[in-house]
Amino acid sequence: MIPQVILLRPQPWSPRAPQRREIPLPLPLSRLVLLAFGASLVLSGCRTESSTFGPAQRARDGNVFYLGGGSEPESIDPGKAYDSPGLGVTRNIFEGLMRYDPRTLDPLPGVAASYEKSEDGTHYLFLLRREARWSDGSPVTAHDFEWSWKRVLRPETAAQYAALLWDLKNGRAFAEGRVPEEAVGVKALDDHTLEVTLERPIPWFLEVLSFGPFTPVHRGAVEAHGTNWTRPENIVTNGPFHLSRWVISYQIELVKSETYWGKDEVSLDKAVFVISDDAHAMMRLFRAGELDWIGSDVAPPQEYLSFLKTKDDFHTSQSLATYYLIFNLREETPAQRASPLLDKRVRKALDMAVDKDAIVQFVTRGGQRAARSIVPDYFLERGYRPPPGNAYDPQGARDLLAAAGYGPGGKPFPVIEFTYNTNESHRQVAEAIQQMWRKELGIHVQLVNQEWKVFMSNRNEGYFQLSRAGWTGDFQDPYSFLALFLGDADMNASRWKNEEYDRLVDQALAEQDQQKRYELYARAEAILLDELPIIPIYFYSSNTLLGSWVGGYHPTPQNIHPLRDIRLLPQDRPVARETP
Amino acid sequence: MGRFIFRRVLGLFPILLVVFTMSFILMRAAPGGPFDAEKPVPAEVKRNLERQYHMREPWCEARFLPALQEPGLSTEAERQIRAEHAGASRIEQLCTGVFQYGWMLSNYVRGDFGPSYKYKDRSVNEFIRSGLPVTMQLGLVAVCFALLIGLGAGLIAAIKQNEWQDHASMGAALLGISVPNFVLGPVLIFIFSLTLLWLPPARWDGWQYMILPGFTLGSVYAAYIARLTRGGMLEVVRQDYIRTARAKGLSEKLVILRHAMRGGMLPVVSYLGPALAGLFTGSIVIERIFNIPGMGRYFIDAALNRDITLAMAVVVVNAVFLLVANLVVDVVLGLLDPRVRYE
Amino acid sequence: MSTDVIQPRPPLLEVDEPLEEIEGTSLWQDAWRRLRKNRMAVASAGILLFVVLFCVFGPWFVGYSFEEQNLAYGAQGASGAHWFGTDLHGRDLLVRTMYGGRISLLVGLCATAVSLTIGVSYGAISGYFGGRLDSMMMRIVDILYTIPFMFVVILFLVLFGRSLVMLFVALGAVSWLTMARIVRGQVLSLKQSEFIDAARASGVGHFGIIFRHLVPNALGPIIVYTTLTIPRVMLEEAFLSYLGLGVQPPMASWGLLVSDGANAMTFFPHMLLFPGAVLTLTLFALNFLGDGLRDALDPRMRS
Repeated sequence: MIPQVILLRPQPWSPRAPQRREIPLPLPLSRLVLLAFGASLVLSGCRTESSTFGPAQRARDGNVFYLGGGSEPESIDPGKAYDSPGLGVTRNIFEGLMRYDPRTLDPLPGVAASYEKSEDGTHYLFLLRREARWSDGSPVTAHDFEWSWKRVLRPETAAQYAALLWDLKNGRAFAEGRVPEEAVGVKALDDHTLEVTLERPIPWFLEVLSFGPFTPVHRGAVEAHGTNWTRPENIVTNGPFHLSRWVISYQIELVKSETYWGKDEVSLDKAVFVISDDAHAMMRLFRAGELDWIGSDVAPPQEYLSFLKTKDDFHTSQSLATYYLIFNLREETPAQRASPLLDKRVRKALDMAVDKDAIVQFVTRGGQRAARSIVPDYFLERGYRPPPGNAYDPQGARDLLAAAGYGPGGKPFPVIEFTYNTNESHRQVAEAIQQMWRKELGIHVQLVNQEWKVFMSNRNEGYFQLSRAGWTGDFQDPYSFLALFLGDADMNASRWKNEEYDRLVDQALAEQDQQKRYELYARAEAILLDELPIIPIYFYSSNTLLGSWVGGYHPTPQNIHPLRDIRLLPQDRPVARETP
Repeated sequence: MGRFIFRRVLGLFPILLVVFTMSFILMRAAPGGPFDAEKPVPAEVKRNLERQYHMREPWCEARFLPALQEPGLSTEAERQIRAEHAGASRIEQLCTGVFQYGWMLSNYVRGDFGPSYKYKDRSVNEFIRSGLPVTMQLGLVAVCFALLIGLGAGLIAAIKQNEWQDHASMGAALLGISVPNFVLGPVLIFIFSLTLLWLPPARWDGWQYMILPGFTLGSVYAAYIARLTRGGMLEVVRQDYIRTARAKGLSEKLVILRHAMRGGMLPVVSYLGPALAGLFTGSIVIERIFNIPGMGRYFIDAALNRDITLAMAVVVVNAVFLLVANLVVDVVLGLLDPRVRYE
Repeated sequence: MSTDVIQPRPPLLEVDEPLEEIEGTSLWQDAWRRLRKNRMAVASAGILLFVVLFCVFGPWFVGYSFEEQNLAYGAQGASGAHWFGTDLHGRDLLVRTMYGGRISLLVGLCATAVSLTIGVSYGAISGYFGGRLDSMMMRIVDILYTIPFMFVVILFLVLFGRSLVMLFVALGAVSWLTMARIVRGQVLSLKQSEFIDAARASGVGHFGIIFRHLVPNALGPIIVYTTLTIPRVMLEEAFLSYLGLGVQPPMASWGLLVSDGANAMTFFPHMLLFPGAVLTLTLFALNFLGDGLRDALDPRMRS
């Protein structure tokens, strides 16, 4: 029984005891709120119909280029740099034997003034420029290259791109500790001559020499300072720019190098990389005129794309990357062995039931192209003829499914788990595909999203049924995509194996003539598209915002834009924009 | 008073140890490792990285699962070995965990937060050294806004009780409590930066850059402080000693400012303790929206990237600040109100 | 004065009519009366009722499904067909706001229920037994106070996966601290009362005393704090959704709608405006009601 307890206390007397006046709604407040809402509606409605998203004229002064750098770089040590923001900084402060042509990304002479190549493509001789210097004045020598490349191979360095150097003779063997250093196929014959021997001929070898792990580091600096050698006060660089300041998680400043051999060709005095994780914040900065370029690591979020398409400072270009789904074809557990996904007719049916054109038109809406093969459409202009793949054919898909024993009257199709990493646009694509399969095939898919690290760990270790994936080519040869599916590749997440495929790809590698090589690739890809361990969805495009006053920028498939060639144009001269 | 402070400071260390241990266990137990990436790293390289960062302890491997020490083992093979010897694998993981804990603790005692797992060229101390002053600045600006606006609005509301100023202030305060800061931020940016062009939309380069983020962060606390001030003042104004002051003929302004405020401020001061905790949580979002290089930004990415050392350092530093701030608040409370004495 | 004989005293009152029965009023009836007189609180309760009905029954009146996408349509402002407009996928925002309300209110209620259960039990036990147990338990609370909730929740959600139930548990597990303190305070002051002695004398055990006698008497502040916890938890859910750790699409919650809206605000303000207005209105009403309850239950605390 709850006793009656009265908690009243007599009201203390106070000369200013209030009279309670009941007001139904705080009137001034409600008016204020309505006013604020109305104002913001009006303001947002009457957006000035300007032709650009950002300002039409540059708001800043000075020959300093402000760009979005993406997130904080993990490392700018070229031997270790692995993430895109890190590489974006590294490629401007270090230069390898070759450098990127700003328009095509073909190799141009960098530190190497000239080279000789053997008939069979396994021997190279590079003659280095005598005027190539480090930022401390000392000359860049062949010994620097030899030491740097071996450093990348050394296991203690734990370089994540070390596998690129396995193409050097005995590269992999040295990395695994089976042969001594001297056996590796890179040797400095003298200060200015470098001899390189490869395991087998690599058609894109010259191109990859412009890339991170092949660029040199200064031995003295690394040995003197250890992991701290990349600090602005310790770092020694040989590229067109030098690192002058780095505020963690905020900005990285590069200044034009005075010791660079091609410094007369460099227009900018300084470049500032603005670091941020939030694409919306970057968009606002660009709109307010604080950035000249949103950067290659920041993509305007989905919701802005249809609006941005009409703006002059928005640019879309083809990217050397494919978005696809992977099936897990391992047969280790009973559940996996019983999976309908092991039947290639089922996989084909699933492929045919996805309306990829609808996805790129309505879901991603960013200029992507529907993909029916894995090697990106970029290679079309280089003469690659991919196999046709499967067209969108829901009826055909249903027939195939029935032939495999599922569908109406057949075995019930179990629920498939589709894993993707937490990301707005992946979610939208996944939901669209889920709906398509449900509508056309009556197949139920459960969407599971995991955050990045968990997702990658699960995928690499085979804990998935169907997963999304994306792959960017490291160099401009279809091999960079086809190698993913070689039987013994670490990166072959589906564990699909086909000996004929492996054989064809290997044969193609040895082929010197590009056309013949491409034909072999196409035959290999045909096998891939017949067995379908993957479902290609679309080829990426890169979307970016660039102020109209920026010159020297060219859309490139790997989204590489050397700052060496960027210039800030004086305001009255608009630049003729190259049509991609 | 001195003894009280001394005892509290002494009590900090066991609390910090508990915080440290709890966050270590949570981070370690999370699936996914710091070295998983889109382009899978060659197995040997990954192993090297893990060894460097004490994610892998050769002694433990040798003792409990020697099969793992074979050279040239692929990730597949390793996974299979672990699956086959599940019990031994778990013990080995526990052993490695203990070693890692010991390594980190010995580092912490020397004031070294260890190397970052994600940013391989940097130590966590660098991150803290660079981010902490910024977060503190942001917090200070937010607290200033919160106190100025909150106390002001609360005072006005108390003085003009039940008139329109009271209702307007309390209505605005309720609005402040009901709107999340990640909504308020973009709205303010839209109005003041992108439309009116009065203030910059992001970054941290000068005093103008502090206004919007500081206000956004402080707004919810201003709202609470306004309510508490009003409540506290109204409570105090009924007390006898205020009557006395008035009876003595003091002007109303003096009565309020000199006598009533002291008592009325009490709930505000005791609120500051928990408020500071929320301030840090809020700064995570604000720093992201406004692109401010503070410490709050690190935490989420550290947790998502499994950057164990960075995540833990942020938690521990934050805990230190909170404990110190609570201590200061308690001391101030004691000074303001002699009735509160230390238990 | 000699008083050998005691005279009967004359009656002090001339009572002609029988005296009225004096009815005592209980705490609850008093409180209810005061609450009813507080027009704002009543209005708030009405608004809340409307919102709940809106969310629970509304979808039947609106034709659209909350997850039906219409990609070609995209995000459009308010119109005759879509009263709240559509989101980026062409989904009707009105229906999504209703479904979102269901989830948000559910999260608010369940997480608060979790927090209530843990907080009340913890505080009551700590306050009742007192002494060393009490110091130790409050010490733990102090320690837990220093860990910002965000860390724990993020790590929870990352470790144990993101699900609705996880959300309830995680949010509830970090909100009980203040409730425990409040209940402990109440129990401390009530445990010396006579009715407790009476209960003990009639042989009621410890837990009976705690849960059948002490807690019901501390109900006032508990109720008040509960109505103030619900909006706080809803905001925390919104925060988590903003970070991508809360409710997962295609399910909606107000937090998710509002965070998407905040990001898209520069171009599609209606995506923020409508869900935001509903969320703010509900939180407003909850806070007002909480204030009203506090005034009603303990006029000492009245602002």
